[in-house]
Amino acid sequence: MAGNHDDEFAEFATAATPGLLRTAWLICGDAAQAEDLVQSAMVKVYVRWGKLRHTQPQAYARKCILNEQIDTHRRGKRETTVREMPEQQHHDREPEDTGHVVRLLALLPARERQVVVMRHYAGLTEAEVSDLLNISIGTVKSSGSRGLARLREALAAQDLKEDEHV
Amino acid sequence: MSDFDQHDDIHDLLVQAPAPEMQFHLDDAVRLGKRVRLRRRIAAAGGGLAAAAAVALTVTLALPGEPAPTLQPAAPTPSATSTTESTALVDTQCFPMDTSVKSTPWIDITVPNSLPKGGPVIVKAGILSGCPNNIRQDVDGPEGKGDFTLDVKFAQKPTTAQWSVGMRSTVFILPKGQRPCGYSNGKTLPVGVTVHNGDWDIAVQPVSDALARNFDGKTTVNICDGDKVVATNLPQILGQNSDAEGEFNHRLLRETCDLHQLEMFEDSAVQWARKTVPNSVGGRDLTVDIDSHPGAGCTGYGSTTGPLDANDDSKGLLLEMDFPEAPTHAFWDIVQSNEGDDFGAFIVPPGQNVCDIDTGTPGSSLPKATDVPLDNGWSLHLQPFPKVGKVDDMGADICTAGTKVLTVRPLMAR
Repeated sequence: MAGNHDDEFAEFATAATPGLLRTAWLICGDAAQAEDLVQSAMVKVYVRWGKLRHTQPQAYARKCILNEQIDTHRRGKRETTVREMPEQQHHDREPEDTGHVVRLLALLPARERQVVVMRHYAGLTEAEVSDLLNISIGTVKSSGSRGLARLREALAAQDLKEDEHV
Repeated sequence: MSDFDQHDDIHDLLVQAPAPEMQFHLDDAVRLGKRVRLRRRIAAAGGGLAAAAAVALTVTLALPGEPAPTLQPAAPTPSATSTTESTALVDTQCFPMDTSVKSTPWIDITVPNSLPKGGPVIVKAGILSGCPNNIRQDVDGPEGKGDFTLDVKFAQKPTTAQWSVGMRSTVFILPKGQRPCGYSNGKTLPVGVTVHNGDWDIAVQPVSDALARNFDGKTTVNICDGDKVVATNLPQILGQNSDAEGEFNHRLLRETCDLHQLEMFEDSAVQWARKTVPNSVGGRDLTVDIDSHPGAGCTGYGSTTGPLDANDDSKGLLLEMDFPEAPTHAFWDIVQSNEGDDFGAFIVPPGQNVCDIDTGTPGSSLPKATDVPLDNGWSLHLQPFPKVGKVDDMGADICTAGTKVLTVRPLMAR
């Protein structure tokens, strides 16, 4: 029944979208774009809900988000704020500095950022990330490792700068 | 610090870092999802050979670029919160799929270069006879990338300004010389494009992605004539209450009991077979998805083709076939690639094969076909057609051990 269809989708969407929005935001670095990515992805999930409801709609939604984000990036459709942060620039971190984490992630190449977010925020396994991004598990491992190393360096450098400003 | 600790730190960073407030609009996703799905099916039913199979319901819906005998969503309606209320709305309102709704054309005009990316907005307006409510329908290009058609049927011929929020645009039907002069959300839009239509001006202002979320159904506008404000807080013509529309459509489909349409609203589908044949139609993948609908109470069949990804034509084609019960004998239908090339997709039981095909074009020879086994023991026989005649003239012989046992016509010819 249409009602069940929509009710089930609504239940799924209500539960899944907060995490998807944050995932999209971490990946693209822009709240408005993240909203657009999730909105678009959920339309696609709705269109295929009859099939997805018994499988993994969240995985499909993630895939839609990533594909759309890649397409958007390729088209140069938007300029995301994450690109505004040069490594050397100092940003004072306020308790509610919502740009901090995306500025850090912006230091990573797209692939590394995707792997790090999917592994360490979304909590996917290496095999799941491999399937999601259509890359080998070896690439997941190497991209994740490099991404973490970059983040580690950035965090260390940031701590050092903050110490200097105290 | 070990990698494990570092990973934990990264996890904490990603999970706990403050994020900006972000919103997801469920109603918008459902409404657009329904439109995408419907559009896909309309496109399938309206294109080329499939026109022969178009059902009565689909002709009430507009296709971009076609003269639009279009009827759809209506004026503001109260939200349906229960089955009783929803049914009451259904009983008292006109809906787009109601083929009994008639209207007299009033405006049919294109406003060029009026969308943010330069596409046109097409404004169609008509005057209804015997309907208590306005009916509005939007038809947009794929994901808003193409043109956008706002189709409005008014219960009575307007004498004052009318407006609506369209796909990435605001659209005005104004007495000549009038203009929008202030939105209730405080946002300012570019002047936009105005075209003249007799004593009326049709004006479109583009709405950027960044501003789109500020223009919801509650937004009102002031209208000016020169420097004089002639209307304040003018409400917009809204799309129809989705619950009531869905109830109406569902009821209508129940009555007509056509699997082709019913599949949109019913989740009775049980997957019978699904197979993807890579690089098989115009260099793109073809996925054949066959469902049965036991218990739906319908007879007949449904068969549609559309993009595999509703939002990306380049990812291949999806041929969906729907049956009341699991198929018992061979069947087939025609798939048209994006380039316009035709293919026959034959689904054949174990131990049988396609032994002769009449494409309706005398003397035509057929190129090599592709045979792919399905998981359930049946097989998919994908046959390119260099040229086809009328669907009604087409047929295929099915053989067992070289002996013809059946001649079947394409589903769309039934």
